Amino acid sequence: MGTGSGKGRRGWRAILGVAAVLALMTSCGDERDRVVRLKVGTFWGGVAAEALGEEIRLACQGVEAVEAEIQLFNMSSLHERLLSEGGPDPASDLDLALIPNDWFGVLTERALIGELPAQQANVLREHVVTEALLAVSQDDRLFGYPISAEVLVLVYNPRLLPREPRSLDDLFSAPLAPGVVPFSIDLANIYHLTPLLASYQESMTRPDGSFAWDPAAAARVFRSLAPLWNDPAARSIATATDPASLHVQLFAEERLASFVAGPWLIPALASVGRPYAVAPIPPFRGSLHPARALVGYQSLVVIRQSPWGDLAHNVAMRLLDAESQLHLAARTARLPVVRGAFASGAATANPASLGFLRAMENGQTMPSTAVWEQGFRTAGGRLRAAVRARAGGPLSLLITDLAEGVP
Amino acid sequence: MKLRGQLILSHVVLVLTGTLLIGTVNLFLALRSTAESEQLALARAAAAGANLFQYRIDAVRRAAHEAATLVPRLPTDSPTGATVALNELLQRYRCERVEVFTGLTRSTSAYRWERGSDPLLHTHWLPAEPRVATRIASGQDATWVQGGGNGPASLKVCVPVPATQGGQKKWVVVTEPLDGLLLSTLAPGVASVALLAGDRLLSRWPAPATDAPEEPATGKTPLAAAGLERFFDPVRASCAITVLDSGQPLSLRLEDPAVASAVTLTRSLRAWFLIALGGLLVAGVLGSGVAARLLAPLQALLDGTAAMARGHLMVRLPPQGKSELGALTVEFNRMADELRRTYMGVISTLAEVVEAKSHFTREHIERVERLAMATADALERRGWARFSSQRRFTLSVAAVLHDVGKISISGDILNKSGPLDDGERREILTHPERGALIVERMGKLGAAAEIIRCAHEHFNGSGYPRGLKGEEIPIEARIILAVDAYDAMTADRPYSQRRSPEEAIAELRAEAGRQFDPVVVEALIDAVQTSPDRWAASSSDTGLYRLLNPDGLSTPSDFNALPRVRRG
Repeated sequence: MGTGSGKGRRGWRAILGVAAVLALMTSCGDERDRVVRLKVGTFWGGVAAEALGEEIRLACQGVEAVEAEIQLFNMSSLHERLLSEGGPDPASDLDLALIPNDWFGVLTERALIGELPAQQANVLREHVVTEALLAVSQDDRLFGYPISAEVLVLVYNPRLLPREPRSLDDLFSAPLAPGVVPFSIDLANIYHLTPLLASYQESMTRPDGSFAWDPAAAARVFRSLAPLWNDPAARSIATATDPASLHVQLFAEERLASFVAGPWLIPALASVGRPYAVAPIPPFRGSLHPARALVGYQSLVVIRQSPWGDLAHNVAMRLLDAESQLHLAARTARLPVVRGAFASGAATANPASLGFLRAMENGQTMPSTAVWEQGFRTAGGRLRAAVRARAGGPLSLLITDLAEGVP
Repeated sequence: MKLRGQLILSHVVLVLTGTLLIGTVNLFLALRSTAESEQLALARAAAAGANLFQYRIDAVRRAAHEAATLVPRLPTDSPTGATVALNELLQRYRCERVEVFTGLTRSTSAYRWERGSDPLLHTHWLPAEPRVATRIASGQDATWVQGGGNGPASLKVCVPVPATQGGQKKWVVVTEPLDGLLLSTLAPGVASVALLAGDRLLSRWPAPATDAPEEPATGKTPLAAAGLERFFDPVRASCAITVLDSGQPLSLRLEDPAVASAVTLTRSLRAWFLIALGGLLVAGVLGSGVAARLLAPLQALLDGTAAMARGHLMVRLPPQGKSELGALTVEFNRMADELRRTYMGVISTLAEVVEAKSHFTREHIERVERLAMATADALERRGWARFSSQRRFTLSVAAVLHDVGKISISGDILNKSGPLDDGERREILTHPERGALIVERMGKLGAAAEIIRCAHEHFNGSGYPRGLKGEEIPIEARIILAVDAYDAMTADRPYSQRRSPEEAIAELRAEAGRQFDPVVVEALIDAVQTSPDRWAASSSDTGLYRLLNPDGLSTPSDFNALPRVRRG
C-alpha cells in the first residue's frame, strides 16, 4: 500500500510539473510575434513626403516584420511633438523622425534622441560627406542619419532673365515688363535673410559659439533691399504670411522674375510647368563677402523612448544606400549626402541639382549647438515681429527696430 | 501492438480528439470575437474620420463665404495685391486654393504651394454636373467633387459674390485637395483610407505604387500583409460623410489588415499546441497508469499459467476483486487447486506406501521435509543459496519422496537387521534411480526426480548411484542427504542407537567435505540450533507434508506463503 501511494504521489507530481511548465510557456507569449509598425514623423510634405515614405517602406522590406507608418507634420508641430516625447501618452510616441540639423542641439541636450550605435556610426563616418556628419555630431558622437542636404538658392525665370544674375542689384535693374516683380525674398524669415547678412558680416557665429547678429550688417542689407521694399507689390509679397506660395504662383504666372527658394519648392515649380533656373544667391554689388547660404541637413533620428530602437536604426541606415539617396534626391530636389551617390554623377545630372550643388559648395553649415540654435531662433522671432510690424511703413523704421530689438 | 501500447494510444487519441474539438470551438469563438472588435474599432475610426471630414467641409464653406465678402474689396488695379489678399485668406482658413470667377472667366486666384499648386486642381468652370451648374447659375452655394480616378480629386465649394451695382456676376470657389495628407489625418494609424463619391474612387492613402495594377472601382486595396495576416481578409469599414450638391454621396472607406485576428490566431494556435502537448503528456502518464493497473492481474495470470506449465503446482494468485479479472483469477486458482489435489493425492499415496514398506515412520518423512526447508532458509539467510518458490516446492516433494524408490526393493532387504550381502547392497543402491523414475512418470516433477536420483550422492564423490561430487550434485540433494542423515542419527532405529543432537552434529561436521557439503552442514546445524525442540515435534503445521493430510488438501494454501526469509 505504501509503495502504491508513493507511485500515486509521483504521478501527481509529474502531472503538476507538466501543468506548471505549460502555464509558464503559455504566459511567455511574445508581443514581437506580430509585425512591428514603426511610426515615422516628418515635416516634409507633398511629393517629398511621398518619396520619403516610399524609401522608408522599401527600407522596411529589408528588415523582417517591420512596417512603417508615415505621419506628416508641419515643422512647428513636429518640433513640439518631439519635445513632448517621453510624455504621459506613450501610444503617440514616434520611433523615427526626420528633423533639420538645427534641432539637434536641443534634442540632444534634453536626451530625447539616442546616440547611434558604434557599428552604424562607423559606417556613416566612412560613407557620409564630412559636412553632413558635422551637422549630426555633438562632441564627436553621432545622433542622426543625414539623408539629404538643402540650401537656399535663387530661382529665376530664364525667359525673363536670360543671364544668371551676378548681383541682386542686377535683378532690381533688370528690364522687365510693368507689373513684373524682379526679385522677392521672405523678409521675415531669418533663414532666408542669412545669406544676405553673410555678405556683410564676417561670420554668423561669435567666438563663444552663439549666433552673431550684426545690426550694422542688417541695416546695410535692408538698405540694399530698398528697391524691393519701396515697391508696394514686391513688399506685399515679401512680407506676406506665406511668401513661398505667392512666389510659386506669381513666378508661374510670370509676375515674378526671381526669388529665394529652398529645394522643397522645386516639385511645385515643376508641377506648374514654368521654366526655371537655379543659381546660388548672388550678393549685393560691393558687398564684402559672398552670400553664403546656410546649408541644412535633414536627418533621421531614433527617438530614445522608442521600444523598437534597434529596428529603427536598421531602417534608417538603409536610407543611406546610394541608390536610395539618388531616388530621394531625384524626387525631392534635395542633395544626397553619401559620397557614393555623387560618384555616378547622377546627383548632378539635373540642372536644378547642379545649381543647388553650387550653392551648397558656396554655403555654410549651420552649427548644431543648442546655444547657436537658441540665438538663431530668438533673432528669427524678433526679425519676424519687426518685419510684420513695419510692413506698411518706411524702411527706416524697420532698420531702427532691427538695430534695437534684435540681439 | 501490445495491450499496454494500445491503451496508451487510445488515451492519446482521446486527448487529441478532445483538444482538437475544444481548440476548434475556442479558436472559432476567439476569432469571431476579435473580428467583431476589429470591425467595431474600424467602424468607429471611419465615423470619426467622416466627422473630421465634415468639419473640414464646413471650414472650406466658411472660407468661401469670407472670400465672397472679400472679393468686392480686392484691389482692382493691382493683380498682385489681389493675389496677396486671397493668399492671406487661405492662410487664415488653411485652405489650399481660391479662385474668383467673373462670368465664365477666372479673374483671379491664389493657392498654397504645398497642396494647391497642381494645375489639375484648377476648377472646371462651369462644372459639368447639371445640378451643380444649376445651383451656381441660380445664385446658390454649391459643393461638388472634381477629378478623381487617375488625377487629383478635390472638393469644391462655390459661393456667389454679393452683387455690386452694374457689376458682372462673380463667384468664389474654394478648393480642398482630397489628397493623401488630408486622408492620412482623417484616420491616423489606419493602413488604407479611401474617399469615394458613390462607387467612384476619388483618392486613396497611401497612394498606390506607380507600377501597381489599376485598382478596382470599389476602392478595395490588396494590403501588403505579413505573417498570418495574409490568411484574413482585411477589415473594412465605411461611413457616409455627406451628400454633395451633385447628388453623389461622399463616403469614407477604411481598410486595415486583420492584425488583431492574426495575433489571436497565433496565440490560440500556440495555446492549442501547448495544451495538446500537455494533454499528450498527461494522456501518456494516465494511459501508462491505467495500463499498469489493468495489465497487472493479466500478467499475474500469465505468470501463474507459465509456472503451472513448468510444474510449479503450488501456484496460487492473489484475489483481484469482483471484476472479470477477479473471476478469471478465481477460476485459475480453482483449476490450480484441482491439479494440485491430483498431484498431492499421488504424492500422498506414494508417501503412505513408503511408510508401509519401510520401517521408517511417517514422522521421519515429515521431519526430513521440514528440516530440509529450514536448512534452505538457513542457506538463504547466510546468502549461500537462493530458493525460489518453485525450488522450495521441488525440494519439499523430493524430501517427502526421497526414499520412494524403496517401494520396489524387497521388504526383506529393506528391513534386514543384519549386514547386507553384495547382491542386497546392489539392490539397495538402485532405489534412488527407481524412485526418480517413479516420480518422473508422474509428470511435472522432473526436477524433484533428479533430486531424488542424487539424494545419496556424497560430496566427495563416494556416493551412489553415479558417484557425482561437489557442485555436480544439486544442492537440494545435498540438503536431503545431510538432513536424512541427521534425522537417522537422532531418531530411534531398530538397528542403531539414537544419538543426541550434539553427537549427530559432531558426526555431521566430521563428515563435512567427505559425505556432506560443508556449507549445507553448517546451514543444517544453524537450522537445528535455532529451534532444537521443533525438530522433535511429531507433526508439522507447515510445509508440504501438511498438505498431504486430508484436512490440508481441502484447504490448499499458497506455497509461496510458507515461512521463509526475504530473498532480496
